[in-house]
Amino acid sequence: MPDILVAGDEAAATELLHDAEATLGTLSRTGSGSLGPFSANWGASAFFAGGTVDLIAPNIVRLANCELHYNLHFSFSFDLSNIIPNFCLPQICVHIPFIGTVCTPTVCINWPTITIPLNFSDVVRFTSDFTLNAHLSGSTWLIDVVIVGIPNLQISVTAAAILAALGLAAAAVLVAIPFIGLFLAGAVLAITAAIGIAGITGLLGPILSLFVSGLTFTVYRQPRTFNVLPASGAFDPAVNINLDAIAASVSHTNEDELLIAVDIS
Amino acid sequence: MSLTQAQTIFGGIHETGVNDLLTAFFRARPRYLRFGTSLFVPATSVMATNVPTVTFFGQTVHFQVLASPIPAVDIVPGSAASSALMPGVNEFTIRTNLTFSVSINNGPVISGPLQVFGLCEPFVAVSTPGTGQIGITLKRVEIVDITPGWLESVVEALVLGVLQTMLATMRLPFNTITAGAFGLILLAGPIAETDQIKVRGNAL
Repeated sequence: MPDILVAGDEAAATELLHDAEATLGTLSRTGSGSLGPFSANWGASAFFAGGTVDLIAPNIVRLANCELHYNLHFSFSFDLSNIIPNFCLPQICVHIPFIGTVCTPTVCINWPTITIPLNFSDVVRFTSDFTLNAHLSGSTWLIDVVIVGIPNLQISVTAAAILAALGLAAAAVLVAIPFIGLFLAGAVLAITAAIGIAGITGLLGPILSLFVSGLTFTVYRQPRTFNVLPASGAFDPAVNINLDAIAASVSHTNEDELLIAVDIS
Repeated sequence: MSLTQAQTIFGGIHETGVNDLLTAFFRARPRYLRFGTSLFVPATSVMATNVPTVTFFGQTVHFQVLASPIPAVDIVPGSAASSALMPGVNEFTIRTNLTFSVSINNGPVISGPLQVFGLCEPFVAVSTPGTGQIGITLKRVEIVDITPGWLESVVEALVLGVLQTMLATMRLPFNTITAGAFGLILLAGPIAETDQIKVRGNAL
């Protein structure tokens, strides 16, 4: 029998997880990856919220419908000439009586390299199992819940929305280019077709996986030297105990409970 | 049966844990184990508490009361250590030795130890969610091997007051009973049973 035994049911464990989500805060990552045939630089931030806990003995904390709120910014550059062929307006000469022959100059259009930026925010929900890990880190006891594997993130609908937003962003960039008018719709179509849903998911999936891979929520954090009573006046110093050992597990009786067993001295 | 029962949080501290807490408390604040008049304790310090002298029929009585070892508890069901005073429902015993030293009119010091058992019950000293505290009510004491019986009763009445003073400031904070894992809104307990002091409630 441990010196101190603490139990929380699934409602209490859910509150612990929500507190841990808030403590974890917003995470940020940057990188680059393939966006269909293009290379994109990206930055992303994300935080976790919500979800309900299902405790499964002896050591599983299943978090259902956890929300991954993310904001993604990426941009990619490419030579527009790869999509729209360069062309020249030929010289045209007209013979004018008493004046002679008048010619227009040859005008060649060389399409520039353009950069298309995009910001996108969304929420993806996932359900995943976590294991309990109680350990001493320096002089602090932690109980972490650590994700098992990488959950399947449903991003196909999101990918379609991003692709549509990408088309609008491309149009906004292209419209400012001289002589693009006749080619605008075709260029946008060519860009979005080149990337496709697969290109978006190929970029977004690995980015979001970075946030959930090894995801760890710390649900318990206490110093090894635990303050029982604070100092009170000149003659009553603080009363402290040592948390010598801490274990965490899931118990199943008529109810599933998260157990924290503590030995003190 | 689940530990949390109808509530969402359970905290239970085993008698070994209570004894560790008592040890931590009295090692940090030993003055609550030693009380004496100015002859024995000139001034209150971390180590000892000064108390006024007693005048009894015109005589000045100096005294000191020292508890050693640090009081230890035995929560129901009682063990052999509590054979002198077995704890009942929602009770626990506390045992220690008290050494009394007395000097009348600055005469020679007379000292002697007494083995004492106290019968206790936990109570809610502070109910504030998160920062509440459990206290110890000392209900009665038992001192073995004093005769005649009336004298034993007189001494027990004195010892009851002494032990009540010693235990008055001893507290078990909610936060300690939950090891800091939860802020507790106390809804049930404290109750002493199965070698533990138990509380139940909801998370703050």
